[in-house]
Amino acid sequence: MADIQISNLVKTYPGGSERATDDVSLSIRDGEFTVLLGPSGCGKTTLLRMIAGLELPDSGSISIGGRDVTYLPPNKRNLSMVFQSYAVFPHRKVRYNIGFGLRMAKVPVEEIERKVQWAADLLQLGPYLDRLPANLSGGQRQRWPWPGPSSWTPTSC
Amino acid sequence: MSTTVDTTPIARQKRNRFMLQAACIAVSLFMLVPIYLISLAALSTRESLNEFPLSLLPTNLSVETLNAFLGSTGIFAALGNSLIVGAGTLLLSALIGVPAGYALARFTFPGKDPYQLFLLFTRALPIVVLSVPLARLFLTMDIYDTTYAVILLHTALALPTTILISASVFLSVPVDVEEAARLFGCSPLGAFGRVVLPMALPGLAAASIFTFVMSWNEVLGASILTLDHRTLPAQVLSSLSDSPLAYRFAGGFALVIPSIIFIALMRRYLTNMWGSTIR
Ligand SMILES: Nc1ncnc2c1ncn2[C@@H]1O[C@H](COP(=O)(O)OP(=O)(O)OP(=O)(O)O)[C@@H](O)[C@H]1O
Ligand SMILES: [Mg+2]
Repeated sequence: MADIQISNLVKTYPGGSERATDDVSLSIRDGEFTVLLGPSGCGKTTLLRMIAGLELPDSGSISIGGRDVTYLPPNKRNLSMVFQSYAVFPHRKVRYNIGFGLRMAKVPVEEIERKVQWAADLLQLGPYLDRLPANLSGGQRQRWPWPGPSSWTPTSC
Repeated sequence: MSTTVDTTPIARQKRNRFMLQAACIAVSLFMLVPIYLISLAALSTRESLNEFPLSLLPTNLSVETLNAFLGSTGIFAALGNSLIVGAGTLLLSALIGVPAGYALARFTFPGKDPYQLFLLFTRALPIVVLSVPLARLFLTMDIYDTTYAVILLHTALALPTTILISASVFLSVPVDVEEAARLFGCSPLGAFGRVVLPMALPGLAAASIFTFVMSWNEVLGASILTLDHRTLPAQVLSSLSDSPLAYRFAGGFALVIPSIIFIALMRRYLTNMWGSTIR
């Protein structure tokens, strides 16, 4: 169960004169595939960042799976998000990067190892697990999996 | 028919490379020759220092001068004090300066620009001007003539550079990476410790070199704030005028070596950027 309920979400950035999101309401059912479409600067990123907890709305509410998460910190939300730029940890090997979300979710080590191997085989990144991200080719980096806890056991995406 | 190949570009490249090498060697020699001469003098016998012409090769090696220097009263204690002060300054300035730099890099708050300017004012005051009132203050607080007092002064002197360097280091760590870590379940402190700090480490190592070397070499404040708990440069300085030539060289040697060792150790972190090593 991971319905997302957004109601009357208003956000104005500090120092901004216009609302970045102006009274947005939206409901997304579990398993539904949703696309946000709109002109540049209309507030798509702002909305997603508020769902993720990276920005806090001025008013309105967000609930995921019936739980109110409006002002919950991002690490308590069990969400995953792909960033517009590749957010990788350049100081850690590929293996650590892929397993990071699972490690944070306190998944047992053998389990992490198994799942990382599975994802790497799927994406043909197997031989590169012990490299640093800087030493991958562009294409290899684009196949980068970003498995947070939720991409293994989705509550929502 | 064979085409003639124009080799001038590659010849020029070779010449440029050669000149770069020559420049590097010149700069290295400029740094190394004084260190070599000090080491040579410190490790030579007393008599050989008075010979003329001086031999530039290590022909008369002995540790006798150095032993005499290290054996003279107060030197070992001063060396210990210097290490305590250096490490203490490093620790305290990192403890205060790194979070301050992080705040400057990540948050906007009222008075941010004046604050950055104000930081540099401490360095605008001459150390003597700072030290005399501090000595008075420390006397009333009963911490005069302790390594702790010198640590406080050196931390104050080091903080501006520590804060400004670490702020620019944190600016170069993408916010994205930090936010990704937060989404994957890190607390704010966890994201800082697991992700931001490791990425900032090379830059912070550079800041720590500045701090340690500054503290190791600072002599004026340390002389004013202590009597019996002198750091090494203060101790050497106070006995310099009435000591033989050999003693001075040995003192110079003892002053140079520890900071060279520290820099060599930190260099590993400095040049080891992620995924590529500067060689
Ligand atoms: N950090 C910020 N501070 C102030 N204003 C911001 C900030 N981020 C976004 N804005 C403003 O909020 C509005 C919505 O921005 P947002 O990034 O959500 O747009 P978007 O729909 O994602 O656009 P794009 O399609 O170009 O990515 C814009 O007018 C933008 O200028
Ligand atoms: Mg956007």
